Amino acid sequence: MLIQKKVGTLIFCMLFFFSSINHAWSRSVEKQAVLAILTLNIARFTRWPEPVFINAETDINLCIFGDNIVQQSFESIDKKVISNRSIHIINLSRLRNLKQCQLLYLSDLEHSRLIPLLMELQIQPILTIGENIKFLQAGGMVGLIDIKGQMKLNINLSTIKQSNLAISSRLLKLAKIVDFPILAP
Amino acid sequence: MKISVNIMILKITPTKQFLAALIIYFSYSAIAYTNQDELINLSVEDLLNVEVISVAKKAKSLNDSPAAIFVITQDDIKRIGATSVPEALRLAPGLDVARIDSNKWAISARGFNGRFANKLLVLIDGRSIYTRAFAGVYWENQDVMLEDVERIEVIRGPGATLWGANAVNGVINIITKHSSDTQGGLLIAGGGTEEQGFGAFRYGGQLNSDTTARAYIKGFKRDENSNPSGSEANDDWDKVQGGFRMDSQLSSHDKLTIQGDAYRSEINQNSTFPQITSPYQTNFNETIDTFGGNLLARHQHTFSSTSDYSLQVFYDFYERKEAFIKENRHVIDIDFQHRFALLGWNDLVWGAGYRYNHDNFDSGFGEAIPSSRSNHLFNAFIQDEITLIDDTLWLTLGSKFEHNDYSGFEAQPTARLMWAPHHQHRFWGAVSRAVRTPSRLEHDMNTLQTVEPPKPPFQPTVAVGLEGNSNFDSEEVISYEIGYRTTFINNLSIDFTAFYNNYQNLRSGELGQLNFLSNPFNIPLQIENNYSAHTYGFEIASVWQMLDWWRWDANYSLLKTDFNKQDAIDTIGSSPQQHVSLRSSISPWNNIELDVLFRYVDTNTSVSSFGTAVIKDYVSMDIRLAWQPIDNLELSLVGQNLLAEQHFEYRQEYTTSDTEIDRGMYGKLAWRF
Repeated sequence: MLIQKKVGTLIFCMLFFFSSINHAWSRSVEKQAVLAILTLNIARFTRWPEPVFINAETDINLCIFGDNIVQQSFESIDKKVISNRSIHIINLSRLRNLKQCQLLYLSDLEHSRLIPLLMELQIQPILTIGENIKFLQAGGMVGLIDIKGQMKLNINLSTIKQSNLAISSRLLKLAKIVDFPILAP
Repeated sequence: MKISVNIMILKITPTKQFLAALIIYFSYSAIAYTNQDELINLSVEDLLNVEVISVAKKAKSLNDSPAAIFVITQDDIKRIGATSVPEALRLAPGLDVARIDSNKWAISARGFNGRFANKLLVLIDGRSIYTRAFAGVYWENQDVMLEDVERIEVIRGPGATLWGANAVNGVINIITKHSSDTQGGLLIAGGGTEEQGFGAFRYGGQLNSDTTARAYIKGFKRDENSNPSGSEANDDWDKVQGGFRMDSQLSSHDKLTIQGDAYRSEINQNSTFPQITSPYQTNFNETIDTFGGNLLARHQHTFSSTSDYSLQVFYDFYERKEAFIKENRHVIDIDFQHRFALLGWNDLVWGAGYRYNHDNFDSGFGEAIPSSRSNHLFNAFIQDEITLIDDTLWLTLGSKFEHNDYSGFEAQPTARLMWAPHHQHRFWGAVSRAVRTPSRLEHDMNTLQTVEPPKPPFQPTVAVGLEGNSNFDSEEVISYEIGYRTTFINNLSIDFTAFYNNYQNLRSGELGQLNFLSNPFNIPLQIENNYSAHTYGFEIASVWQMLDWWRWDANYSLLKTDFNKQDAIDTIGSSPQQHVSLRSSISPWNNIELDVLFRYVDTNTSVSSFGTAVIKDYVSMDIRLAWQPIDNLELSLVGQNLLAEQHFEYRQEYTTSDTEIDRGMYGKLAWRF
């Protein structure tokens, strides 16, 4: 009986200890979920040139190139409506038919494939979003970069202007503006 | 879901305190996950202020390859306290990793294991480390700076279409980090009971705006293990190795990688060889002096996002001086690969390559005739991934064609289907043919295998001589595989693969005619292709991210082997039927890690020149505790093989004495600057 009591006390202490750890974690959120919702907000603050949409209700195609986890996290924003247009998620498993996309989210693409891809897209009205500084250096437009557990919004203005896209000043105010032109061939 | 499982694990007599603790515990757990719907109402400003974590990535990530692939990450290697590549490989399901002694390993996938296992192809950064000498890998000669490894891909089943002959039962790809990801200094130092002392130093820097590089040097001294009787086994060894890697972005379309390594090692072993005079065998301790190096260059040119080519050239050299034989070998390899998209629904990759092998053998207890040989290997391959339904269904067809000097022309085709009906489910199936081409020693070796001492009154001394056979042909397999991967339960992933392999022309040893004219009498044992076998089984790999800070990895594999002839098991042996591994990874705070790894390995039958040994099943446990007192410094304490003072894993095919692996402890310091 005594042993049982000791074991019980020990477990109590351990669980109390672990639950306090757990509590510390509980304020943080899954990064993928934050990335998806930040992307939705970026779409909200982006203006595409006139000929991109057929009419005022045409969907915004958000193309996702990433693994199943990335795809899953974007499910929550599918069909969300922003200024009369609803977001339409297209999961790409190969880098094809990119001209249908108004936003292109590229999660973790090798540098050697990223450079030519961004070069090919450079005057297309497609807002490209990536997750690291290398993406911006290769000419990517928006970088959502995790710096010690906090997301930093980086915007590469020169490439955005080149594609005739416009980003609202309300978003620009929250962002770090960087300048990495598309590399010359 | 989560709650019920937690209670199950903690099934202990519920005292009042325990219940109270449970309530507190779960009341906290309940708020651990912020709802995604709540996030959607947050402003961008708020989103940029929340603390984000990405711990569950491994638990939910599904591989898109139509093959049984398992990835060992840098984090995995670090967190189990692996000090060598073989130890890291113990994490992969379906792979049999057995330590023969301090400096030798037997590693194979899906059976046919041995020190000289010959059905697994191993590459380090695209360089094949498979030696033509015995058609396998000298694991003790292969090392990398483990902290600079990005990942190890373990592919079970044939991979011959892309990687070439000898990828019969699997391929291991060891991939090191790009030099831009290893900038700065890293100092490693440590030591303990079995890992008596080790150290490593790496420094990475930027040479110019487009070029980064790193260089490293490492060394270790490993203690000897024990004989079954408990005395010292004389298998201690030491090694020093250095190397570098340079990556340069020559232009926006071209990149160049140059890398190389060099090593020297002194390996002790206790050897026994048969002899024709009394006492009919000789036993001695010897020190193997071995050294080697390699240099590799790879140029990659990108035409567009869907088209690129790479040209790779490497040179590899090693020398080993053993009492059995002295060998040195030079390999030059050139490989070209071109990838492009066609018609919007085909992704093609084709390539061609050439490999030159030059060797020199000096006779010891064994000899190779001729003592020096140069060989040429030519290969070409094509593979097409056809999209049948966009983003859902793919068919991959391909074949490798090669010509080698031992078995001539070989074709190794594969057909694979991948179906991704939903982002939480992947199904795949494959049929492939692969061959294991003959080794230099299988064709050209001569050695005394055993000597039967005379038995009074009539039986004279009889020597059995193992003879190579230049007609020995390739071993071949037709393999059928199916697989399913899922994350249908949140935070849990399961990867299931089942296989059936049909082997033909497996290596056999055939006793010839007794020669009465020789002294002593001699029976030749010739290498032939007379065995066939089929193996079948399945493998499960699962990851469960139970809590943000607590992950479980559990693997199970089953392997059944049936030979066409009863005596085959006495020649080939049989690998363990079952492997189980269970790993718990806890990081209660950002700066503390606690990992526990349990492994169960079933009995195996090892065949050696001393006879067949049935090795008992065993359970082992490794524990690692790490603490990061400041950002750049990590201290860790590792216990290996903790459950027994010593245990037996495998008996080598020839000459070395049985060795049991000792329990070990070591401490390690890693400082980044």
